[in-house]
Amino acid sequence: MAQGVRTMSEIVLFKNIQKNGPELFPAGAAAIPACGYDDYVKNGGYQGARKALKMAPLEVQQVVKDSGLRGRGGAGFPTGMKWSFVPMDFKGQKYLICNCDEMEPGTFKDRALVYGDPHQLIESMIIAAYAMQMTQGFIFIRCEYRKGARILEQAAAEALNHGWLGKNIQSSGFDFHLDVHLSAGRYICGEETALLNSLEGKRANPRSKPPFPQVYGFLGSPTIVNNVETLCNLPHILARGAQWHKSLGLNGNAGTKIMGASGRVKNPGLWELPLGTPMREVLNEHAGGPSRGKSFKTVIPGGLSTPMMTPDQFDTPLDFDSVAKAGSRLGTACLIAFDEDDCMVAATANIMKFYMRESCGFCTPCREGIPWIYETVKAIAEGKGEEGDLAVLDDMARHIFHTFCAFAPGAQGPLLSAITTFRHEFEFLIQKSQCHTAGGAS
Amino acid sequence: MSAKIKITVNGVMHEAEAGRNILQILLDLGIMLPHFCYHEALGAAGACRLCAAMISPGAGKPARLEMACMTRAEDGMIVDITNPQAVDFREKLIEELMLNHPHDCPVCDEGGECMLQDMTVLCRHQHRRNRFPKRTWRNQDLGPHIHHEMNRCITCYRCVRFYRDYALGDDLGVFGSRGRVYFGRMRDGALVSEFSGNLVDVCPTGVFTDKHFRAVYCRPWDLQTAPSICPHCSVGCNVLPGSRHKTLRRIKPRRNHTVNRFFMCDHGRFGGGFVNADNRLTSARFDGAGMSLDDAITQTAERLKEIVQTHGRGAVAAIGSPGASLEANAALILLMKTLEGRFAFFSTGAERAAHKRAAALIANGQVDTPSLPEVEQADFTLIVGGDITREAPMMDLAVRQTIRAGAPLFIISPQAGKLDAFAKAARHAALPEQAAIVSNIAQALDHALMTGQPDPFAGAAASALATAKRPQILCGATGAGGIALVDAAHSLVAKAVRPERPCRLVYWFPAMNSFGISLARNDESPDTIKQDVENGRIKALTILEHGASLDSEWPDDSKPMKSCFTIAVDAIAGKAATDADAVLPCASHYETFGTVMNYEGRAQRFEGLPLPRPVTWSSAEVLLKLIEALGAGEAINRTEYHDLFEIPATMSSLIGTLAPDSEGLLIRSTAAVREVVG
Ligand SMILES: Cc1cc2nc3c(=O)[nH]c(=O)nc-3n(C[C@H](O)[C@H](O)[C@H](O)COP(=O)(O)O)c2cc1C
Ligand code: SF4
Ligand code: SF4
Ligand code: FES
Repeated sequence: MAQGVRTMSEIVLFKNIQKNGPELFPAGAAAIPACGYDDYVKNGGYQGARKALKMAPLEVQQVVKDSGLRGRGGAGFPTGMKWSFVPMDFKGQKYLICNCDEMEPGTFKDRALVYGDPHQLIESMIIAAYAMQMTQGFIFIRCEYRKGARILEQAAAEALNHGWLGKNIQSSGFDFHLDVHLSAGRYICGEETALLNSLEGKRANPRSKPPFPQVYGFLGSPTIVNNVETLCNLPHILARGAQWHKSLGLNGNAGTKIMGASGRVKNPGLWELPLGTPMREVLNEHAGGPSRGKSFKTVIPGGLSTPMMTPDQFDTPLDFDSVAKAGSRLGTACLIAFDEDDCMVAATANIMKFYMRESCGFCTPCREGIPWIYETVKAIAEGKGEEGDLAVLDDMARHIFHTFCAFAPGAQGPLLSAITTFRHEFEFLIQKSQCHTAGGAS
Repeated sequence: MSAKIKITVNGVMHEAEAGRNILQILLDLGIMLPHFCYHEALGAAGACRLCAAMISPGAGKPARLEMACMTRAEDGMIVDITNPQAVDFREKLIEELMLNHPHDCPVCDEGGECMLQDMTVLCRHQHRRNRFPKRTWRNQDLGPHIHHEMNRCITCYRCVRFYRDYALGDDLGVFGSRGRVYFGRMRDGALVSEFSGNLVDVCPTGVFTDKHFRAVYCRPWDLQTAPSICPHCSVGCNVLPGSRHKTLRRIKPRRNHTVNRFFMCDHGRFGGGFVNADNRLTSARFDGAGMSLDDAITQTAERLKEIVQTHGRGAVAAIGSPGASLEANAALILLMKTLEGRFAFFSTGAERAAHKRAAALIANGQVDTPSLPEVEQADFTLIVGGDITREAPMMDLAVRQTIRAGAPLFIISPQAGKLDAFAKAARHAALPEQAAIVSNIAQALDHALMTGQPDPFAGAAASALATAKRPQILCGATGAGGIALVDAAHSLVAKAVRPERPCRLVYWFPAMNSFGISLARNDESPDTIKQDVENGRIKALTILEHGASLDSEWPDDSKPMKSCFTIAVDAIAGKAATDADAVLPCASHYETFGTVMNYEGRAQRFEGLPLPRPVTWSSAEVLLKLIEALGAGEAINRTEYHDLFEIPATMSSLIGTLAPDSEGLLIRSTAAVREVVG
């Protein structure tokens, strides 16, 4: 067994899910029964929140700061520090928002948490809300997760019945109201400021920062937007302490991370592993290695919006800093694997189609540049490439970095690495009008 | 005045105001950094990404490619707009914007004044590499004024930022997402905003163009223009009419940072039809016979002399016009002085009283009247005495800026108006009843903190007024509201003013130069003149430019003035000129020069477009010719404005020196001259 695999006791986020079902995704997530209130409490649920409500809000913030928890929404921003920007002396309503938009391709970790263990998320939100004295919360959930929204609503009703939501929760004097908002369904709605606009009933265009949501967020009030997975760590941190959480990761990283794999792997799935687990271990031991008996050609580590990594980089530990040092980003740590027979030009066309479709249309390089990139890559993939196409791709790949939000730089990640690392595939197709893999296409 | 900072631009150190963005500062310095979505009134959006420059926080710190409009200027910053990376970025950006643009400049109305053309040339984009199909759109019918051509759109969001965010309209919007963003209405249909014409100006390319101009199109560089003032209300927006082949083709707002700044209303923009109208007076007439203007003037002079000789003093009279310049009205007064005649302005005595009282309060400095940009700064507004959306549209737009900032608005108006939707409370009452409601507010102000007001509207308005820091009251000075309303508004302001807190007061008037004529010395009530015309005591009546003052109630057709010899000096064959015994045609407003005074008492100078033949003179010139024909030309040269109007002598001489592109001159009898520029 490789060093990364831990005993069950440290698998905290998935504990209830694993107890309730033999596998995470037996035949589709719909098959997993959500863990109900009684089971949740039996397994130690709501202990973290109970503890938090007895502490001072700033003490709770301090525990989170000390735990070294970093955001799991993709950017890895230290959660405790983010919380500390909320002006605690603000007189009006402050808001806590859970980001469950999860439209990052290849990423389905938040879904597992919501569908499998909704009370864990609710307890998490109570802790975060109490720490920042936010009396209204929203769970902003992707519209394809309609069933998840229903599961959450049901769990919230149970929590309300048991005095964990609403007025004066558990006689602590603290009020917390929680609403589930089903998104209309756009990738950009996951970007936190576009999310806020969307929640306000406006067009889902991002806002310029500063001001940051912590100060000027939902309806202009201080607001914290945290990812589902980020939040779900809180009950365990509160229950077992900051030091315990810190000790979970490898090489000085704090906590566990839900890692995933999809694409050309034998066993696509999700695993809760120590932050810092090497990519090779995830690919080979958990995901069972390449699916078609071929060797891996490349892996996109963080969902789709991160640069591709090649087999010589597979020993990179999957943590924020190590992956950044290797020239990519950890992102959601949900790996997308490609093997030798995959045509990277066709794959790039497919990738760019996603970004073209999902652009919010606010700023020029993203709105105009990405469709042009897509058309160009598609033409090359179809054997209709022309001389000069690569120059266009080179120009535009650099160009789309300077946009209004991080969406287009996300698109740049896979694009720039594809036209650099697999340039020969593009050149071959332009010259020969057919793929060098001869017949392989993703 | 905010603090100064130093920033280095292209290697040269400049001083700049703190708290602004880099693009603003560069543009103010006269450095053209290409941009689209930034607009001085609409602010920065960060959407177009054209204003890229290399920006470093300070010496020795690395420079990064940043959008200048999204970067707040800080002391010590170093900006380089010539850096090859920035230049290349901007060229590529234009390339992207042109991917789907139809390249239809030869048939596009915007051509020649198109920001997209300018920026494309400036960024040196010239080679098109895109070989894929362009996106195309269906255009909409947006009503009589605005033509829509969506294919040209570069998605800068200026139109919706103006229409929705700035002007608070809701029937134009942005639809769709990704590379399919559409700007238009839900369905075809006329735009309902009073300010829709500004879309033509804010759109940097030819998506929204002026339908009226399209109908008689010429390239903008072929237009002859003259800096003018809009004649349609007492706000006095600065405008730039353009003509070709001696017909008026279009009107655009002209920048003036103390009045309308960037915009104007549709009534003004599309209301220039009178210049080219079919009922334009072009030939002179005397006793039913057509003749040259010179002959008509000679004959008119003879007739006037006869009448004075026969009937003596007071047999001749004149009615001036709030729609005519100070010069034209002055010439009319001089004509009457020459003939020992009588003269009046306004349509009723009540209107005269209300106007004169309001104008005197302003000119004497007894009230603090805000300019339009100052109206925008208020944190409480009470509107009373009319519907400013119709009577002073640009003041409505200024009030909308206070609404955007969250300031409360209270309205007392004769009927429901468009601003009601944004008001904290709106009360509808006939004009004569409004003074009482205003007095209720003043009374409630005495015990603003007490609850249970007898009049809840007055109570709410008073308590909001009591806590405001920069309150203002906008009051219509009209005949129907009368002097009682003018005084009630003044009393309320007097009560609301505290040493640490001014309370501003606007009186708006029905016409362009209502304020100017309100300062006339020795004018009579129009009621007595009207009476004496009707009872035959007045034998000759000269009517100045009434065709243009559309709202005027008198003289009208219903009481033919048979016994009276009427002389119409007019550009338009309106009510007065049709029945007149002598018709002396003159230039229309946009073809003449002169001075008018807006609601603030701001004297503004305007110039004229070339005259359409056969009209050769302005009304002032026609009247002066008439005076010369009477043999009294001498007197003209010795007369100054302050001889005829209540204007301090010091200001009188300044009026003649005003430049059309200046801030004008605030007419105040006591205070020193506040602003004279240019
Ligand atoms: C295009 C785009 C899409 C995003 N989608 C998501 C998402 O679906 N879920 C999410 O948690 N964060 C998403 N993010 C990141 C959020 O903006 C934000 O950083 C995150 O919710 C913060 O949570 P954390 O601090 O807990 O990581 C997205 C960002 C971008 C630029
Ligand atoms: S990069 Fe621009 S167009 Fe793309 S999603 Fe962000 S704001 Fe919208
Ligand atoms: S219609 Fe004009 S103003 Fe509106 S987004 Fe397009 S180019 Fe900009
Ligand atoms: S002007 Fe700066 S981004 Fe458009």
